[in-house]
Amino acid sequence: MMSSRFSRRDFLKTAGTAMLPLLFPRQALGLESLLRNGKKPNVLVIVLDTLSAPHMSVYGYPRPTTPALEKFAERSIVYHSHYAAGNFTTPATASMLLGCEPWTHRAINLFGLARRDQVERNLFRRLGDSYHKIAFTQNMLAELLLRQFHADIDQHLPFTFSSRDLTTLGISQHLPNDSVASFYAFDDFLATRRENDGPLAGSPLLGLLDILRKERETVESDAYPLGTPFNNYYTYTNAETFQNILQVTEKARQGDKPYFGYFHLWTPHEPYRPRAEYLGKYKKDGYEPVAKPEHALTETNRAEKNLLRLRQTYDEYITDVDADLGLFLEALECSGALDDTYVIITSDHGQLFERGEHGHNTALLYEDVLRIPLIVSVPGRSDRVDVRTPTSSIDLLPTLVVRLLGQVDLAYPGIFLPGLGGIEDWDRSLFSMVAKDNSAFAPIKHASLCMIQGTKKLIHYAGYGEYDGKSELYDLADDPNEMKDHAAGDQATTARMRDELLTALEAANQEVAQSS
Amino acid sequence: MLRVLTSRLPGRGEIGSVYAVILFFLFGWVTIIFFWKFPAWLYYANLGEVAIFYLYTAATEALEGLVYLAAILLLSAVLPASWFKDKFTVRGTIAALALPAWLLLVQYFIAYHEFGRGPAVLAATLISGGLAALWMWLSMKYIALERMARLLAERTPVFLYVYIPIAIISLTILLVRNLG
Repeated sequence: MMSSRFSRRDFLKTAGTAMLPLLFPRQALGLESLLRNGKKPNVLVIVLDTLSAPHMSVYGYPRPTTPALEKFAERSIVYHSHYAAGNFTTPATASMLLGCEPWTHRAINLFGLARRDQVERNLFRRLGDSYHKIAFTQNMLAELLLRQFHADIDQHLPFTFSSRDLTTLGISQHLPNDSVASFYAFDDFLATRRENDGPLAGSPLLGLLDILRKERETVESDAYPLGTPFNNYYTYTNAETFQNILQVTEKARQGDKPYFGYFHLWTPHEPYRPRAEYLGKYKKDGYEPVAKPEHALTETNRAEKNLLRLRQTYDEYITDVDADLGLFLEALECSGALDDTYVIITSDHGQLFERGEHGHNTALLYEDVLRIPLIVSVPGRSDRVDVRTPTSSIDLLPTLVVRLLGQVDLAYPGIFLPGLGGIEDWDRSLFSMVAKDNSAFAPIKHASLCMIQGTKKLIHYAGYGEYDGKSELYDLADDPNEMKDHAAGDQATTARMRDELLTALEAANQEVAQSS
Repeated sequence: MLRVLTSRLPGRGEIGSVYAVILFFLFGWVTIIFFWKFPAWLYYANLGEVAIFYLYTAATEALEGLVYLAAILLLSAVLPASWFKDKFTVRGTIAALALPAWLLLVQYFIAYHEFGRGPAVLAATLISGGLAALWMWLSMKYIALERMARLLAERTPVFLYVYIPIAIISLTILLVRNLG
């Protein structure tokens, strides 16, 4: 819902835009950022699924997991406190592409969809006809969202674009005009038994064909001792995927229009399958992460030793994909693409290896699952800029709109990213959440909610039985590992932040109730 | 050739009865699974969208039933008439139940018991095929068992008045959605 009041956020946005020509004389507003050939810059967004910023050496992680990105960062804007708006793909990706929090777009459930009346706010449509829009993802949760936005995407690459060996029937991809409904009917019900504890498929024949295909999901080889990378639907390799993206984007660069490309890869999501040269790289490197006490809402209840082993393989997998990403970025540089293309490296959410929890299908909202990378290479710039104020994945859309189109759109709650025309704002509140056990159409009552303001971080739990109403407060400047909960000691800050958080949630709940 | 083939097929009425049994099984099964999924879908889909999922379901099951029917008719054409064609209503009905049951059992052993393909097929064949063969054999000796199969074949065609229109409406709507 748009507020009729001109808020502090709106003021900062407008002020930031007014200052753009002063801050960036060459690349200020989109209209002024035309390149020498008279064309607007291209935009290439690479989303590496489940990439936790605290696990990347470019952000100070002790293991050298991302040497290629460290090199790339030397010519980029590096956001050190960039947060996902959700802790798994559906809400987080929807927030990035719709420019609003999950409590507004309501893509909050596993395999959920964005509110139908919010779809027209998507980034692809917002960019209009002046861009050739390309989209591809290897993550089915994100693919469902892209299918919702399909009419606004000029080149929606098939889900199996980089597939080596499809392990499901994937019927819905053959029905492009009705790919969302047919996904739920075929790929989620008639042909597939998705839940481990669920019943068999709805169709005996399609179910059998699908299950026989699934048996081939683990393809071990000398190159991939743990199996070829696999996204629950097909096997692939990162090298081939990047190669394919390179071909598509290079072709798009030659077109009449500039292109906007959104490429959402599965790696380094589970199953972690690094190549042989990276497997075991960190086995005895002496690194010992801080051991954290088990949380009451932990779902996987993993032993610390088990978490350490999983963390090690995850880190090795990040190193593996970083190598391929490095080659890809080098290829972009060699082709001159970095001179006419914004290259944005980010993720949808992170991954947890702490407090007994492994993964991101969790009620927990600690740094490792929320803090994601954001590294932006601006065409024509070769210096490094570090931005340390908190930013959110919802900021990407309004920032791109102002950078590429020269338009300020106050309908989106995000701010313009500092370094790209925005003003650093330490007082700004940003939100993340997980509410997958709520109906998307009803008020959100059962959720973990997070608010970050400067270096303060509040996590609030609602609707969790005995844990209902509990809050945790951390000071990330002094305690980046979130070990010391200040909620009891600093009740004033806790209450203030909780009130702001719950007021924002209530406003969103009311807006959804009114719209439905 | 066609005349030989058609001469080895049972009458339309018998074929219709067996198709009705197949659809009765398929629609029964899919309805159970549909309602298992229904509450989860309502978390993120409205009733209109869930209705579209059901249209896909109904259309698929009607077409899938034709595949099973074709397999049973092939059996009738290949086997000696005295084995199958002459007793098509009873034996076709038993086969109509055994075939989808076999497919589900194979999945069950693979999905829930981590059987390999071979053992899963063998176990499913032993159970589903064994029970079907036993039923066919015993139905020659015990009239009650034959009557049970015949009862199914005689009673289920009434459901065709529901299944067929639903399938036709579903297919029409889905064709429009996908071709439009």
